[in-house]
Amino acid sequence: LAACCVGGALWLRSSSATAAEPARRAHSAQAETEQLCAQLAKPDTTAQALVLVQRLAETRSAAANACLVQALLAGQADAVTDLIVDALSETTEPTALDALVRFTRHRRAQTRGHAYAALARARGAAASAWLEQGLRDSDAGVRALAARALGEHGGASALDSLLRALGRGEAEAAIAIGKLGDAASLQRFAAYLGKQPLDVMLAGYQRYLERTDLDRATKLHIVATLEDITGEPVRAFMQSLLARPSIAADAQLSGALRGSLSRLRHAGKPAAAAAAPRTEPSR
Amino acid sequence: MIGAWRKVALAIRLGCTALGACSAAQHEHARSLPKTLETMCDESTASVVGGTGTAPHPAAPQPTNRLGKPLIAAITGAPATTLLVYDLEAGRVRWRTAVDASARPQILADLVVTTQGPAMLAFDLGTGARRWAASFDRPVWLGASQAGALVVFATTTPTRDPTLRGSTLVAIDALRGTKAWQRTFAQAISRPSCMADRCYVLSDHHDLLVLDARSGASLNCTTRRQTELEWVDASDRAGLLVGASAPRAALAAAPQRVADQASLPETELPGQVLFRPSSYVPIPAARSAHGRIALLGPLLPGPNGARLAGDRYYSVFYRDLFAHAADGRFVWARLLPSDVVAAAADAAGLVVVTEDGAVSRFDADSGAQRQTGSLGAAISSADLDTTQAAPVPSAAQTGADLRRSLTEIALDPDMRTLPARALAIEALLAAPEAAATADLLAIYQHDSTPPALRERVVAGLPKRGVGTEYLIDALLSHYDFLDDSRPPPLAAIVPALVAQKQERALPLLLDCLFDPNTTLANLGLLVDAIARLGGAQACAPLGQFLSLYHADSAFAQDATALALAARAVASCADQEASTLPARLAQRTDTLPGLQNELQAMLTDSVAQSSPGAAGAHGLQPTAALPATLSALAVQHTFAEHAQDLRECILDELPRVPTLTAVRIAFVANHDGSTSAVHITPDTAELRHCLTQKLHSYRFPAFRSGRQLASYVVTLRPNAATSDPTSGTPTDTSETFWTLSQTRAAGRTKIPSAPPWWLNQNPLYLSVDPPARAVRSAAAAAASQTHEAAAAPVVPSAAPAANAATTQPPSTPSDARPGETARTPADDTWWLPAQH
Repeated sequence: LAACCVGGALWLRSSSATAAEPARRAHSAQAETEQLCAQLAKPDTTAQALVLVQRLAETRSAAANACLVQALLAGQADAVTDLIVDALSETTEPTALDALVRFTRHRRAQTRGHAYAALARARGAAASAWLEQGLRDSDAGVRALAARALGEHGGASALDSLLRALGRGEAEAAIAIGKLGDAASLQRFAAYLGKQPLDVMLAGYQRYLERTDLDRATKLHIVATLEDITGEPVRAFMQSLLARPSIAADAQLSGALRGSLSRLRHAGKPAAAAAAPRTEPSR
Repeated sequence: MIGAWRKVALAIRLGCTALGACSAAQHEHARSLPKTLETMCDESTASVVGGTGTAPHPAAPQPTNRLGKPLIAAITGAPATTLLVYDLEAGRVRWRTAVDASARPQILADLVVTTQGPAMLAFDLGTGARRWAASFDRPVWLGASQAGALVVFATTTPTRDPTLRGSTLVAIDALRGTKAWQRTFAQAISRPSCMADRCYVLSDHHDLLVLDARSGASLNCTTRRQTELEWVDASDRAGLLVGASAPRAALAAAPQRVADQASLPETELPGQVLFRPSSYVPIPAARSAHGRIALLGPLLPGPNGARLAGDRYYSVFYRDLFAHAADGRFVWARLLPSDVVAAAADAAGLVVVTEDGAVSRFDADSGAQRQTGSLGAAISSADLDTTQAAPVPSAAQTGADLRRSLTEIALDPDMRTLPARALAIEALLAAPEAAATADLLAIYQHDSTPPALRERVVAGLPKRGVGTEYLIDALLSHYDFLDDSRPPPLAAIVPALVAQKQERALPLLLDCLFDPNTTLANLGLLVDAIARLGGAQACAPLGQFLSLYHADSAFAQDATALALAARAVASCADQEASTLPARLAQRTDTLPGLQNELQAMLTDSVAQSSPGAAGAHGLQPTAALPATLSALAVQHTFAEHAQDLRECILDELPRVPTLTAVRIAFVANHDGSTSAVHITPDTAELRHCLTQKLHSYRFPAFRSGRQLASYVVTLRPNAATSDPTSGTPTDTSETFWTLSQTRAAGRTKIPSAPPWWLNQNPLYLSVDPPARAVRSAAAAAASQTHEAAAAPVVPSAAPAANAATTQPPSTPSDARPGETARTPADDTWWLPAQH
């Protein structure tokens, strides 16, 4: 009986301890978050602040995110600010998103770039509208980042803004257009031939040709357009395309490219006017 | 609009200088003046035959030439090769002839005259046939005038050599080309101007001589010592007009008329222009500045004397034309495609000949081009005789048209026309239309607008009582790469909104506060404006702004905006906001520059004052600071510390008796502190003394980061012993720099540097000759008393034409113990710039 009693007591104790463990751990984590948060409110050094942010970010808790947002809005040294912005890309909490949107108007371009990148990571396609705002930024780096992010996450709705950005000399927009544009967009894209640097335009065409969601007829039309441009850069570009597995696998497309290359070699046409001088995008 | 312009009486006086009627008072005054110049009147007094003859009866306004046609004589091309006469009425060239002209052509009654080398050529006005040539000996041909059948011309030898100096008047028979008479003068004379049987000539800027045109005999002469006479214009149309050399001042005289006075408002007209070109200056045939800058007003006799015909006068500045009403109001303005070569005003408007050969008649009221034509070639110089009697009735130009014209002129990128552009901006600032504010903002933002003009816009906008809506609307504009739009011109808008207490602009100002494209300089202005306009509402956003950026490197170079925000929130009623500066001061990541400001603020009780006073506590918004530290500001600061410098240099003098000047070069930092001080001569004691003192000075803060500056302390022999002209600064009425200062009083050209007549070096040391200084120093060493300071050397501030820029001269009360007190007059004599 005694043994039973002892065994029962041990069982009871064991079962109650098992039930309390998550709560205890949660309590402990919360306490640690609060402690980290308090330290982050008054860090001794920037290095310490960076460690605190890293640890808070690793907890991935709502409280930690709230603490990071609070710290972000309270103002930090540059590196700490940027690290917090990066960390907030892991959450989709509205307060964090609000903070990220707000920081797309930060005075430092680097932080704005971090904020746009974080928004793209956090919201994906839903961040498209904010990223389009990034195309309007005064900093070329931020614009390029926004264009790249749009190329990854944006939808067809971003095409208008990207085409305008291309028209204003934003090179990264060409790649994004090549990734997002449909067959109908090709004509608008081609309108910048001769107005934008050829290498910028070719980068956009390459993305069009590498797409699997575009029909072959559209791609063959691109090859024909490129053949019209002519010139050594176009020949080199076509040659490089043939080396790409995704294009080489399409016998008809690669055949068209070879045919164009052959004609270009024999024609020896002078370089077309499409090669606009490379210029720095204006602010 | 009128109220914005100064009105200065430009005496258009009639009658006073009339010959026989020349007042005794004037002669009395002339006699009382020192005889620094030999006057023409002295020698001609004996030959005065008395009387003034018959005053001409003013004729109806029409061309003065015998053909009665509005004519233009012009020299084309460069080099000048062709002389042509254009009939404005017929719209065609009457004749042209090849001539290698050296002087601008002149249309006389029957002839057109010019020069070729040392000969005056006369051409028939109607046919262009060459009538005659008259050679002359003197190197400069000034011009000619026709009196009946005689052509009188003046030549001069402009030299300071009294043996060569002199002038000659020659009268030639207009028909035959034979010489009728000749007179020689020892003075410099003007080109003659003849009316009926009289010819009028000025000499050496003070004498007006009247000659009998038929014989060349002197009829009368008057001297006006107090007025420099610069031009004389006698015609049957307007009588005798004599102009003074003061800018835009005209002294008109008509024989035997009762004196009368009219006035023209001075409207900050561009350039120092006279109402007529100087009669002393030859006008070349080749392209020159003559005619391109001019003030033109048709003067006609009126019931009470002279009056402006049509109540219009005009200013010409290269390609810019302005028409003013008699009260100074702008009536119309035009930007021409080419520079003006010559222009003539009459009651109907303004006739203009431009370099490209275009001829235009602009309507007096509307500025519309009533008549256009072409001379068929590029023009280098021209003379106009185009007076038209009756103005063509027309509607006055609308305010919108005037605004458009003024904006076009203000935006003209031609840097030569800067004064005219400034004038256009002033006119727009005074315009009653609200939309002028939008024009001014556009001018401010335009790339071609130089800083000097932008500053005019910034200074003028707060005083405009209209157009506030345009200021607020402009705040809606933001930088946008895709739309190619710019941030709003906050430096122009914000001070105006603050001055007009536009609290409704607060939300838009807050938006700009958090806009990354707002410049640091403008952020200071914004914070200050938000604090002033927002009151308690500003506490939260300014607190957020301060908190967000307190550790951000974006403000590492200039934390003025954050410091201003800290001062504003510190005085907020809200506890959370008011304690924020103290909390940030304790944080280790707060920017060092801000940290210092916060510490200073926390120990400063002034920080408790109202938010609106944020800018008044030692901090200024960066945009309100000057871009650079001016030479004048350097002088002011040194002048304030004259005594300090005096001590160092007094100590140095016994060691270096030959010391004549000390140069202090340093780097001025934007906050007014100094670094990298370099002293020449570089003796250890002097360097130590001056460097210590210099580091304690604070120059006015400025926007740019750092700037090299220098200052020269000049040691000069005592003025009392070496310069007989020393005296009180006011006793300089005869000095050339005072004259320049007086002449420049009405100048509107934006100066690029302090005027030359301002003392560039207000501080100097007035010392005895070196020998005395050495003796005094030796005596001081021997006696070990303060007697050494018994004034062998007396540093003091130099006098300056502008007393406001200088330290007052030493006074007896400034004297050190044992120092001989000196009167200001001992130390004061003029020092030119030494930088």
